[in-house]
Amino acid sequence: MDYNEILTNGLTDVQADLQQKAGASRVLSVIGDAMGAAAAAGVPWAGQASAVIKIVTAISGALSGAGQPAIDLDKLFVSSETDDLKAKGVDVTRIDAILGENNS
Amino acid sequence: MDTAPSKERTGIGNRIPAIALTWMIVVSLAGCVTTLDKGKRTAAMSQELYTAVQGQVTEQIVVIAKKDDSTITHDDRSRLKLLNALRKVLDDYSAAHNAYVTALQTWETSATRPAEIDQIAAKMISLVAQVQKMSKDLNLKLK
Repeated sequence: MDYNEILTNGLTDVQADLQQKAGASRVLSVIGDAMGAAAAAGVPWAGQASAVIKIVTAISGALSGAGQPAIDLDKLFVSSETDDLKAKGVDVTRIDAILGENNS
Repeated sequence: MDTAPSKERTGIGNRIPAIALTWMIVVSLAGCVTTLDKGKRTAAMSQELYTAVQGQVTEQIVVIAKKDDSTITHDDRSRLKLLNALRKVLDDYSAAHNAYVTALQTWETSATRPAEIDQIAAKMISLVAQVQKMSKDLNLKLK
């Protein structure tokens, strides 16, 4: 199992944890396990552990929400990738035509 | 002739794009939220990360799709095939994300945490895992 699998599987387990604090702690543990596996495999990415910790710290800070304005749920909806393409003039049928497919 | 971009051509390495990792961590917490406020912030970060990846994918598909047929190369088609697969996963993610936001709206009006939040979050993390792998295969320069 490589570090990517460890990270993915570990984070999936974290998702099942309904306790926010315990979940955040598990995220750090999972990343640590993944880093260890990466180091054992000689993956250069393991050298970026400090960057990952910064990301986790940033997420933790954002989730605390201190001093941030209230969030309007109505503004959190997103458009689909297909709709985004349509808005920029590309229909899925054009993609299918290039790929020689007739299913989207 | 091979059908997929080679590691040599694309410079694919073992590095996970930081944004995909961040996204993974964020959605891993989506099912853990115990307050509506934390759910809102998780959804806001999910929106921001999805939009960043969506922008890259749209940009690259548009470039190829707007080419004249006679100038579309084999490499263009190989890359478009991967991008199109990612498009479908992003479509599914956008639906899951919007369902998550809708569940939060229900939470806001009823003051009761909807049970489906956990199921939606599980779907989101499964899809992000796919995005992460596909982004790596495409060597997307995510900002």
